Order: sequence, then structure tokens, then C-alpha cells
Amino acid sequence: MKGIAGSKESNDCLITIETSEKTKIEIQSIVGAFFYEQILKTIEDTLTENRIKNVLVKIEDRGALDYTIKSRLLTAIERMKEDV
Amino acid sequence: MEHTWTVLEKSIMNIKDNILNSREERAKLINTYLLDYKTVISVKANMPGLDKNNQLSYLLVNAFSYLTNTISNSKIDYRQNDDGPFLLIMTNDVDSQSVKNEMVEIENSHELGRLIDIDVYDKQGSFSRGGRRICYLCDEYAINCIKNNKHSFEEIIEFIRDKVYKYYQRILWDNLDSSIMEELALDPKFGLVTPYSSGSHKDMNYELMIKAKTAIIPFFIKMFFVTCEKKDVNDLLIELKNIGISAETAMFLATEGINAYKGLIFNLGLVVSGIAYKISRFSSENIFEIFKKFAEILFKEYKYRGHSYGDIAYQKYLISGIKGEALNGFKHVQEALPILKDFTWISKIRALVFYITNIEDTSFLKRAGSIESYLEVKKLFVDLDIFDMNQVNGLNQLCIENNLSFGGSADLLVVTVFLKKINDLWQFF
Repeated sequence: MKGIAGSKESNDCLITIETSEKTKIEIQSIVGAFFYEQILKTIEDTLTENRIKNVLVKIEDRGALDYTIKSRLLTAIERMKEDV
Repeated sequence: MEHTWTVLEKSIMNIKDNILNSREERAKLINTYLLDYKTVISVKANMPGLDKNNQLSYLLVNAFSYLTNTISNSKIDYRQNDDGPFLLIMTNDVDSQSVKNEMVEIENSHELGRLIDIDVYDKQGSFSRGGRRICYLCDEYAINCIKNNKHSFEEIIEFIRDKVYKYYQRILWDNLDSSIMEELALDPKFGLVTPYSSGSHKDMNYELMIKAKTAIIPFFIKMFFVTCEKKDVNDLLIELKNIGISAETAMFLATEGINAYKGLIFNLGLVVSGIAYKISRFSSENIFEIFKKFAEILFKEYKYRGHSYGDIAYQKYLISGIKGEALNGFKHVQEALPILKDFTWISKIRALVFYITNIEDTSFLKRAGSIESYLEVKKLFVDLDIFDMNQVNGLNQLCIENNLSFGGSADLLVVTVFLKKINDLWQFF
């Protein structure tokens, strides 16, 4: 099962989430050096809040704000659930 | 209290969701275009806050519509959604690789470049500039200030407004000034004022026209920004009319009571406002339909019962002069635009003679004295060979001797020059 949300526009991010053996988060960001921890925490917290485990999350970040990352991830989760 | 907060938060979440959905929609639209085109360029405003559709966004994005001129065989699409207005420029002639660097250069060097995002897409994916951008207001990386909420929303908007307004102010001033000058400098001009002759206007001269010009230009600029800001069209036209009256007062003050440009204030004011309306809303209405709509609102209750010569002409001959022309959506201006190929003497004279022979000019009718001599003189212009300088000079002499002049036609020549200049810049027809 797989879900994609977002875009690669400036100030946005593209998030892909799919089922996996164990939870793994891959971050590729134009602001990675400065905000890697913050992006990681936003993703981990969102997954925990929604009790999502054993997924591979890939984020291609173009400088998205936290709420954008969270919102894109939630949409991607919804789309993953719908994807059978 | 808690309840109110929840409602407010929910509505903010909704707006944010709509903005994010709109971005996804735009990405889909770009992908659709990439089926038919090699390269797609998107231009959008870098606007903080939840209202991505404020007039500043439109003015910003519009300022880059000229890019389509710089890219061969490109097509332009004006769009808007909850994430604000945006331009898509599509082409098959240029590959993304070569466009990318140019776009980065524009972001870095254009006066408004810092305030927009230009993204380039091809079938392989997207390209945004490498490297982080510096904050509008301080020396830090913008992303740091945004993520840490360093500056207030109002502070940032004020910065953007200042830059955008200064840019448009300059473009408008330059083009208004040079359009009026293109007409004023034309000589000989059949009884109209030129740098070398007062023509049939004993009370005017070139210097006086220059003074009047300088006095009225700021009011056209004011009309432009008011049109961008005011949402309701009826309210807008009331305000535009008031600005027009102030412009007349300023002109009469500058000329000590001589009417140099009253007609132009109306004509050019209507045109400037119509252009502002179109570009600040990405209106899909034809620009001439917008002029017509404005004129219809302005003259909704007009009965031609006044004592101005325009009203008398209407009562006597059903000649509606410039009001009629505006209510027609400047029908003759549309016809004159292809005649005015450039701003050479011959093109301008050709356009002016076209107006003299074709429009109903009540200021000319007044000077002609009767409808018969009005029509007789028009006939002379129909037969005029503008390539024969003896004929041109002869007719000019005849106009001056008979105290004839063509203020209405001169005004429309200015309007035509202005429309051509601005359209070369922003392409709206």
C-alpha cells in the first residue's frame, strides 16, 4: 500500500508513504542541514499521534513549514489506506 | 471561549488545507501540460499569510507576464486558486536546462525577483534554485525567519507593498509620460498644439501642455491603484470619478484655467483603470469589454441634458462624442491599434487622420461651427495623401486659418500609444 501527497514546488514537500517491514524515514531537504531534526520530529510525532507503524516515509522537502509537512503526511496516510 | 477558539482554529485549518490542495492541483495541471510541452515555467508570488489572493500577488505575478516574450513559441496561461494567482508558460522550443539559469538570474536581478518563485518543470521533474534565499527584511536565511516567526506579518506585507507599488508607479509614470509626449511632439498636427506651433489654440502652447501633463499624471497612477484595491465596481467608479475631478482641478491650477487635457483625463483614466482591473484580478473579460462596462456604469443615468457642448451636440445632431466612443468599448481605438504599427511620424499621423475621419469629435464640431462644414473638413482628411508633405502642410494651414482643431482625436491617439506600449509589456489583447 502506498500514498503520495504534496508537490516539489518551492515552500512545499512531496511525501511518499508505503508499508514496510519496519518504520523508516528518509529526508531529502534543501534546508536539511538546518532543519533535519525538526522535520524528523514532525514526521515521527504525526506517525505516533495516528498510531502508524511499519512504514517507509520519504520526504522531498522544498522548504515546507511544519504544518505543511504534517498536513501532507496526513493526506499521504489517507491515500495509503485507500490504496489497496 | 474555548469553543470560539476551536471554531477559529478549524476555519484556519480549512484555509490551510485549501491552499495545500490548490498546490497539488497546480502540480497536476503542470503535469498535464508536460504531456504536450517540453518545458513548463510557473511564476507565483512569494506571499506570506493565508490570503494568497490579495492584489499584491496579482500585481507581482503580472509583472512577469513579459517572460513569455523572451521564450520563443511559448504559450501563457493565467490562473488562480486558493494558493493565489500564477502564470504558466509552456514551450517546446526551449529545453528546461537552458531556461533554468535564466530564471534564476531573473529571480536574482529583477527588482521584484525576490518576491516571486519561478519553478521550471520538464518530464524529468522540477527545478528550483539551489541555495537558500535571504530574508526580505534581515540578513538571515528566509527559511530560518519563517520557521522561527521572526518578523510580523504586517511588517512583511508592508515591505512587499512598498516594492510592488514603487515598481508599478515607475512603469506607469514612464509610459503615461511618453505616450502623451508621442502625441504632443507630433508636428505638423492640423491645428493642434506642437513643440513649434500653438496651432488653432491661441491660449495654449507647448510649455503649457507640458505643465498640464505633469499635473495630471499622478492622478492616473492613483486611479490605477484604487482600481487594484477596490473590490466593488460601482463604488470603484464613484471613486474614479472623484479622482478625475481632482485631476481636472490640478490641471486648471497648473494652466491657470485653460482646458488642456480634460478629455484626456476621461479617456486615459478609463483606460488605465480598465487595465488595472484586468491585471489585478486576472479577469478573463476582454479589455475593451471592461472599458465598456466601466463607461456604462459611469453614464448609467446620463441624459445629455447639460449645457456642455457635448450635450448640445447630442441634442442637436445625436452626436455622442467621446461618451459614445467609450460606451462602444473604444471601437475606433481597436481599429486604430493595427494602424499604429510603431511610433514613427508616419504611423502616428496615419492613426490621427484615421481618428479625424472616423470618430465623432465634439470639440472639432464646436470649432467647425456647423455640421455641414464639419463633414466638409472630414472629407478633406479622407482625400488627404499623408505621403505628400505639400498636402499635409496645406491642410495644416487651412485648419489653423479656420481655427479648427481635433482634441478628441488627439486624446485617442494618446490612448492608442499607451495601450500599445502597455500591451507590449503585459499582453492583454
